[in-house]
This record gives sequence, C-alpha cells and structure tokens, in this order.
Amino acid sequence: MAEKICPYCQANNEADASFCAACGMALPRMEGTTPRVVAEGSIAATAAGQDVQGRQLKKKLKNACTALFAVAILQSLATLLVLFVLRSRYYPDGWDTASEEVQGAVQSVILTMAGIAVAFAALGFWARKSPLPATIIGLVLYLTAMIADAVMEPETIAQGLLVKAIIIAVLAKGISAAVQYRKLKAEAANTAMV
Amino acid sequence: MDPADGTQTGCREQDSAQQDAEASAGAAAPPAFCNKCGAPWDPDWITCPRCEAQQARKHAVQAAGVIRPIRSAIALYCVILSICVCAALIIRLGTDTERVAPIIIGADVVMTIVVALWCLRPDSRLWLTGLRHVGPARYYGISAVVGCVTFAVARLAVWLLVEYLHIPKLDATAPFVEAGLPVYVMILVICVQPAVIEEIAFRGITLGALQSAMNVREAVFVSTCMFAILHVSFLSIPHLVFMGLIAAVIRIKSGSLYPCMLMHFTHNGLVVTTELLGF
Repeated sequence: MAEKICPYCQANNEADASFCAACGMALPRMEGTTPRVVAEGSIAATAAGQDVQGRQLKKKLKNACTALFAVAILQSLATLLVLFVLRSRYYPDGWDTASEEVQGAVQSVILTMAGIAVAFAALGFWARKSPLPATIIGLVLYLTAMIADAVMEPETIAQGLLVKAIIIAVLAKGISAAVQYRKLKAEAANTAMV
Repeated sequence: MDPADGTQTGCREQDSAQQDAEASAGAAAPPAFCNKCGAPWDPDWITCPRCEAQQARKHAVQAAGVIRPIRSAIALYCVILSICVCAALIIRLGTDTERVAPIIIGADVVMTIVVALWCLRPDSRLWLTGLRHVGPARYYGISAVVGCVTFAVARLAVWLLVEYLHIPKLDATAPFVEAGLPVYVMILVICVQPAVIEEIAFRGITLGALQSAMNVREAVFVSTCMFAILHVSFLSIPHLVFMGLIAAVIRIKSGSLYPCMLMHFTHNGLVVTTELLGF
C-alpha cells in the first residue's frame, strides 16, 4: 500500500492516515493529481467532488419529488373527472335520488382515487426529508394503481403510456439517487469526523 | 452485575474481540456483542432486538450492496402483484361464481411456489434469519393476543366504512362456500397460506432486504405499506397497516418469523370463523 509523506516533517505515514504520526499535523487527502471520472454508483473521493456529486444527486431527488407531486395532481384531476362522469351517468337528479348500492359504489371509487392522490402528495412532502423510503413507496403504489386500473378497465392501458413510463423511470432513478445520496452523506460524515 | 457495567464490559470485550477477529481473518468478522448495548449477538442478526442497533454482517451485506436488496424487494412485490392481478383478470372475464375459489387456490399455489423459490436465492438467505430462530416463548402468547386485537380493529374499521360510507363488503369465505369446498380447504387457503407465505415475503425477505438500505423504522414502514398496498382493497387499508406494523415490530423484537405467522393465522382464523358462523 502506498505511503503518505507528511508535507511538514517529511515523515512516512500509512496510506489511510489522516494525521502525521511524527508531528501530528493533518495530512492532505490527495487521491491523485489528475481528474477522475466517478463511476456510476461510486462516491467521489475529494470534498469538492462530493459537493458536485451531491448537487447532481439532489437534482435527481428533486425530480423524484416533482414526479410524486405530479402524480398527486394528475390523480386529483382524474378523481374530479370521474366524479363528474359518475354524477352525470348514475345520479343526474342529485345524490339523494341514487340507491344505496350506487352511493356505496361511487363512494368506494372516489375515496380510493382521492386516497391515492392524498398518499402521493404526502409522499412528495416526505421525500423532501427522507427521499429513499418515500420514493420506494411511491413507485410501489404507482405500479399497483396502474396495474389495478389496467385490470379494471383494460381499454385504458394505452392511455398516457408515455407519461406513465416517464413517471416510473423518474421514480426508479430517484431510488438509485437516494441510495447514493445516503452513501455520500455517510462518507462526508466520516470525512468530517476524521 | 450492574447492567451499565455489563454493557461497558461487553463493549470493551466486543471491541477487542472484534479487532482480533478482524486482524486474523483479514476481513470484517461478525461481532460477538452488540456494540451499542452489549447484548450477546447472534451472527445471523442484522438488528439488535434490544436496542435496534444495526450491525450489518460486513463480509456478506456489503458484498450485496444496498441497491440490490431494494430491487429484490420491489421485484418480489411485483411478481406477487402480477399473480394476484392475473387471478383477478381471470375472475373478471366472466367466470362462473363456482370457479372463483379454484382460481384463488391456483393463485395461492403459484404464489407459494414463487416465494419458496425466492427463498432459495443467496441474497434471500441473508435476510431470512427469522426462519432459523424460534424466538422467546412469550412472543407466541403476545402474538396470539395481538392477532385477536387486530381482528377486532379490522371488524371495527370495516363496520365503520360499511355503515357510514355504504362501501360494499366482501366475504373471504363466500367463493369457497359457493363452490361447496370443505372447511379445511378454507383454513388452508385463507389462514395457513397467507400466514406463512405473506410473512416470509414481507416480514422476512422484504423487511430484511430494506434493513440493508435504511434504518429499522423506515424499513418497517415501507414493508408495511407494501403489504397493505398489495391487497388492493380500500376497505382493508386501515387494519392492514395496523397489522403490518405490529407484525414487523414482533419480528424485530423476537428475532423470529414464527410469532408473526401465529399472529396472522389467528387474525385470519377469526375472520373465517366469524364469517362461517354468520357474525
């Protein structure tokens, strides 16, 4: 293993030493003199590199938050649309004229859709603080809602396919970015402690 | 011995034991004591049941990485969801009401095979430590009681939703009664299979995998949400979240999956019993 030479007293130190064993001065954390391309999934070695990487990861995390809020807004709009359609189809003369069975079915559908919208909004807010668990739950919930919707109404499978694919891709990338961001924060915390 | 002294001693012994082990093995060795509270540590554990400190098995968990466990958990969820969706699609395509129960049984058989095969993956063995431990006996008593509590909570939640929101209620045993199947089949399909397979899938593989990537509380919450969302039933969300949280806590505290299976079996058993008796 290559040794570190102290710039103050020229003593030899181990490669992973942070302070010189001879004079106690802090050793520079130099990994090399040439720029290094950080591979996907790995952490930058220098503080400046970690700062840049952190900002890039935060951008991806922000995209994931935006995707969660976007789904919440789209789901809310879809809920209002479905409510309007059901109203005009099943109880055009008013809610009181609908049978109990119809009321139950309509309430079940609207509450489920509204519940999903609220869940995504809550996940969007939670993702700002803890992006990893929020994006995992968001992706799982979105996949389930999409598949359940496809089963209930197969004719809607192809509708908005591009938007669905984009949302899934952004959430999946958000999960990877959240994992890497945690590693980066842990690495930065270790560096600060040293 | 004063617990504080024992803890400090345990930590000092554990520190020197760990250093010796690491020096001789040339790689991280499993600790002998928890480095947070000094409790004796089982090499197969990831989380200390006393203080919830995480001590990953560095030589195995770091090799698996963090993103792979998350992918495995989500992939298992998607596979189970696909099985349920296929069964729902077949039922929805205008099957006779008598054929609903055999379709459910078929889906359960396929799900059992899939989860059993998933358990054989090398990564899954890392997370299924709960199957290798029986856990303290008191957790079985606690689980049986908690199963009754979750059943009561479920009944109350469903009654409130049906009574005030007129949401239609579904009976779990109705398809089996219509198909004329005996009671032991209902017990196998509704009580035993979900208790074993869902607990292995969610509190075993999923919770274990997520603990590699996040802290205990987050892993418990995410696995619980996945368990609740999978059932795709608005009516059941409140009690499924409650049940999932309790089961995950029991899994963490006891270090075993078997009390969770007992809790789940008790809950589902009460559902089947009350429906068959007409309550």
